[in-house]
Amino acid sequence: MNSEGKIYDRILKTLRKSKPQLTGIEDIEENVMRRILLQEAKKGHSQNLFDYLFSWVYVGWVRTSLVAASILIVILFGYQQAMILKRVNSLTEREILKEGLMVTGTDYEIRDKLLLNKLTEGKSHDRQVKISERQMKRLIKAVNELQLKYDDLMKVIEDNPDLKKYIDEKLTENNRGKLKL
Amino acid sequence: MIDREIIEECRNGNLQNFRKVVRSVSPFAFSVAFRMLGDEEAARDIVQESLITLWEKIEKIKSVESFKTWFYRIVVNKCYDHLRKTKRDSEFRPDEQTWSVLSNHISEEPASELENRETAVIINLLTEKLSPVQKVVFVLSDLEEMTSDEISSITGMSKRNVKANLYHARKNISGMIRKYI
Repeated sequence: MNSEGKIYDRILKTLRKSKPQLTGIEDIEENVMRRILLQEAKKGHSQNLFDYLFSWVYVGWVRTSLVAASILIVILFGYQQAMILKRVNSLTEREILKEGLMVTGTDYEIRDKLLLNKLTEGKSHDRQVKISERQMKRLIKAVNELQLKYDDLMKVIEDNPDLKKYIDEKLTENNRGKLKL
Repeated sequence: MIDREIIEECRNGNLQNFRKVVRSVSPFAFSVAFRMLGDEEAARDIVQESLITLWEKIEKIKSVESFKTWFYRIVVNKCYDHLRKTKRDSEFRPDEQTWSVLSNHISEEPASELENRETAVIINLLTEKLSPVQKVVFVLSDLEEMTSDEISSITGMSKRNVKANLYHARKNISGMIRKYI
């Protein structure tokens, strides 16, 4: 062995013999314990819940997969519920045209109902007339307006004898024409 | 090194028993870290970080028998990361007085024990030109006196790779001895 090799061996011998001395091991111990406790506290309850739920799984990656899958399912469920709620809200806001003949409601509406019955000659009950509630209301409104105009016209005619006489004559002529046919 | 029961207790989350583990493994973790880094403060930090990682991953130890290898791997990986991050820029040179003290220690027969500071100076001087991998292999093999099988299982390198790195490390160190000593 050459001198270089001897020096190498001597240095190694010296270094092996000189074990590095760790002083203040208590400080390291306290620091480590403090940091671990801090970390444990940070983990919080969420992890405890998962540990509780999946404590029966001993394989680490299987447990992690199950936790991930359960989180995914919960998110999907929440999303689905939100979508359903949104649709229900949308449906309740939408106007529904009920294709029916029965009219229910206040006294005022009942009067309209009777008028409808009169107009349809009692056919509204046996479902021979097929109109919607909206159409029915428009019809009743139109009849009421027509009735008012008719009453006004009749009043004007009653107040004017010449006009009444003229209209009577015209009607008589008209009826005569009809008979001719 | 450590009782099987203590490690089993730690795996079950017993933090009090982990104190015993900290006291037991800190000296040899410090020895490895200090010899690799040549810096007492950095080595203490590595020990603390390694112990915290040990607590976090202790559940994942496949068998209690492999505990020592497993913990060495944590320490070595942390040292390796530290070495890569803190690449020394300037050439390391001890002052005259320190150098004369070291020369005396090296030439003494039988070899005398060095203080941490002196050990750091020698290690830093000899391993200055080594790559982080070569440094890891040199410390584990020539200073911690591990077999190539043990080094292979700690570092994850093949035995052939370990031997090749060790050969280059020794050659490099011989060059440094020729240059400085």
